[in-house]
Amino acid sequence: MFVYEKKLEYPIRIRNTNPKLAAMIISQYGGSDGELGASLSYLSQRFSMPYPELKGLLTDIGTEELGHLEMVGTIVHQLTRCINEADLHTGPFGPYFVDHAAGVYPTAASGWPYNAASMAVKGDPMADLCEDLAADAAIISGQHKKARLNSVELSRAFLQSVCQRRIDILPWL
Amino acid sequence: MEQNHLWPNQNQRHTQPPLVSGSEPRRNRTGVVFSCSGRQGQTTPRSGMTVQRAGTESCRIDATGILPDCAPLANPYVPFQRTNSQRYPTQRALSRGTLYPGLDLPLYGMVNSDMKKTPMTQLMALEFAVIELGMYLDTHPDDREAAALFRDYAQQAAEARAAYEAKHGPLRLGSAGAGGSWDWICDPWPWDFCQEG
Repeated sequence: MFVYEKKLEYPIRIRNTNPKLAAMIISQYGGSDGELGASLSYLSQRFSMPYPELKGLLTDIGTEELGHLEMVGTIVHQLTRCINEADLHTGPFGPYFVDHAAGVYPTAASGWPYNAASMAVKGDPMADLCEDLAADAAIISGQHKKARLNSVELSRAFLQSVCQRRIDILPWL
Repeated sequence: MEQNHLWPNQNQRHTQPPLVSGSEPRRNRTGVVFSCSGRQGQTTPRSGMTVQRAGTESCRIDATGILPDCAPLANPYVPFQRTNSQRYPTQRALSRGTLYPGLDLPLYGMVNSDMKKTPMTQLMALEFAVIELGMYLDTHPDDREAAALFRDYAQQAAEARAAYEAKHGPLRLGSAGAGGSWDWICDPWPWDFCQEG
């Protein structure tokens, strides 16, 4: 059972529209190393996890990942407020706009829609935990790339924050 | 972009020593060059063989596999959080993205400045501390001090949530409709851009 809380985990307030950036950040929503995949992995792996500590941990991390998913969706939504014609014709947001307009769709920045083939649930505790570690390393590497590519302070603050959360969970897995 | 002393850039990061202990040189499975103190040149009573390459030490090869039986075991080290870890105050924890200074490794040295204190950010900070301590307790269930702190923060978060809801409307479905109208559907939703709040 999940209960919705009508607030974000961390405040997001992006004043300046930036569809170009949104076209990259969307990978964090539905890309192969995005929040959707992360929450699905943890929340699915827990069913076959035999240890009480890790049943709890996978549940709590998976739940928090859903909160991150909402935050990334919020970033994309706010970055694409009041988009203008020029953004669609000149920037990388054009192809995304053709398919989704200002909707938030789980896809990688490179255009590949979310696919569960990018995650693993093996029903083996060690395999699943190793998978989680590898996934976290991939996410941190993605955050580094995004941080290098973007210049919007608020999103950078967010990326820093989410990256930090990744590092936190490493020692626990 | 500001540089981080821990990870100055991607290239340097990759040149950090691997988290594997063992004496150099270790080669791949087919290279058959392993340093192995104390066993150089020994032949084995079993069907093992001694491999000697010019200028290198030798080592017995196990008949049942490719790896020599004296191959050093890899020792990956994953730091495990100790009990009584130092903690940030809740508001700082929220802006740093972790409750624990020991786990605070900023991305590219970028650090969020402490955010403005509002009823919402205070609630976020308390709930974040609850999430952090909750996960810590999942793997450290016997840490009584942390458990007591968890209860304390959870209590404070509940009070802060009730105070916020009384003023700004429901945060959870169960609190909706208290004012006689169906306020659950009222703006703003969490993804809406708001100047303040």
